[in-house]
Amino acid sequence: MLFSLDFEWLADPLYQDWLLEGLGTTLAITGVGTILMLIIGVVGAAIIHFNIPVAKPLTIIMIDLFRNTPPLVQLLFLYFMLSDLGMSYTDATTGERIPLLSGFACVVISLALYNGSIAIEVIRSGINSVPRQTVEGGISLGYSRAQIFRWIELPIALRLTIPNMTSNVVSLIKTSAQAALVAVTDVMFYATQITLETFLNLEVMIVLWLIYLVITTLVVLLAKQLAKALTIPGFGAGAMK
Amino acid sequence: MIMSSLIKLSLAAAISGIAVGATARADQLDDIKARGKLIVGIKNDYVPFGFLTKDDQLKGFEIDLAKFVAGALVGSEGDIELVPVVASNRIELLNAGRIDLILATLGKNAERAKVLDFTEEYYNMAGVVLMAPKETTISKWEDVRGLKLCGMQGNLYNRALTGTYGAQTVLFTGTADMFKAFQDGRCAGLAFDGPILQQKLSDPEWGKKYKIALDTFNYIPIAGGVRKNEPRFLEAVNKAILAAEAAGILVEAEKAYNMGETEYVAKRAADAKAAGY
Repeated sequence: MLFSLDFEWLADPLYQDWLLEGLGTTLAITGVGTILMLIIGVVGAAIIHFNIPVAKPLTIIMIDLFRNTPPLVQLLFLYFMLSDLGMSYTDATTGERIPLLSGFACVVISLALYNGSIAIEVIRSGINSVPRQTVEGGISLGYSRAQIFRWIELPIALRLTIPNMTSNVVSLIKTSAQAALVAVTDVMFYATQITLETFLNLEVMIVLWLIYLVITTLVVLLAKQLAKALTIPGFGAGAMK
Repeated sequence: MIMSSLIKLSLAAAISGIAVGATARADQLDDIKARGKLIVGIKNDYVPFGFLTKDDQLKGFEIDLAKFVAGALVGSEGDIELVPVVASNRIELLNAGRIDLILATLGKNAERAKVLDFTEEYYNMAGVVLMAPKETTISKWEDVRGLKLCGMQGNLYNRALTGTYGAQTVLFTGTADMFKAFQDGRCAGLAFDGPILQQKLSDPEWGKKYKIALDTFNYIPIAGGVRKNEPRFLEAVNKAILAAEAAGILVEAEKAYNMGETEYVAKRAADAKAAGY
């Protein structure tokens, strides 16, 4: 008992299972979401950097669309609207029309697009801060534009933007809590479930808060280690202290 | 800052506890007799238990019961004040002393038993039913194993759906989302409160495509609720409810409000009669 808070429910094996299962789902969403987000970031930044016709304006439209609208609106759009627009398939065994994207897929895609759009801008800013002389050094060594991007600009840009990208990953983890709204059983979903059964809103929300805090803190610590290991000597002097 | 507000909160809780204790010490049955009327919390929006007719009359299964109880306790069926309540405020109204008795589809459960005393049960309400497309192959609850069922967060029967019957529940926070997801075909069935789904089928668009595929597996006993520590009042109410059953009031009410004649109500009536009420 702490200020008459009741944490006895934490000893209930069912609630423990629920929280662990929810934690697993949350980590799966954020893991897959982060990977897709980084891929979108690199590919999008490359498209803009190389000024690829057609693809570049489309990428810029995508960035504006997803970065400037609430991720929850995007998620509900994916989940409820796409099947209305015909994105569904017919189940071979039952003959019923089933929406193409599961709740889980909708959550991962919406997070990847939202945070991916931010990632494109983050990586682009990194590419823009690669010193002109370094690129010229590559040219004088006979590197092609693609080689300069792959071996000089991108590696430096990714190193330089670790702090910004970390914030982006943390934002993705936090936004993943909206999965509960489309019936995906993440840790937020199960926490709500527990409050509905125990009526201990404050206590359950404190635990939920700590769970998210621990996840994001671990990610930030990991990113710091990564930043330290990848420091470019004489360049930015360890991007993150 | 947080500490001080927590201390204030617990103080407030302690004070309200004292207040409730104080009101409970007076004998409620004498108060009601002196006052000359019984104040009952009822529903006025829940056909067939308590509802307003077109000419503004309160009618229903529980209204009939409430009137009988008032007659038994105070003297005549007119010595009553009916206060409309909803699920979220009825227990607070009772414990604040605004009403004497809840007769408002109050389901019996252990959580509520901590904050009020239940009277004799008088009805058995159908809980979860399963709605599915008309061509569904589901014919018994055992068939839902492994299937996705849409539902709503916070219903205790969801546990039985996953635990006992092995279904995969897809739970939403609001009914609009739940109905939309079901219509989109995200679930093989929709597991939700019987009366609401039955009502949904009266919408022609829904009635055309869906049906109630399975009847409920959980019945919730409905009982009245009174404040704790009022043994004389509770006993008097219990006697009145049993007398109402014995007199056939509830059997008649079931017929009058088209609720179907349930075995449960008939059996309780017979038992009460046999016990001499």
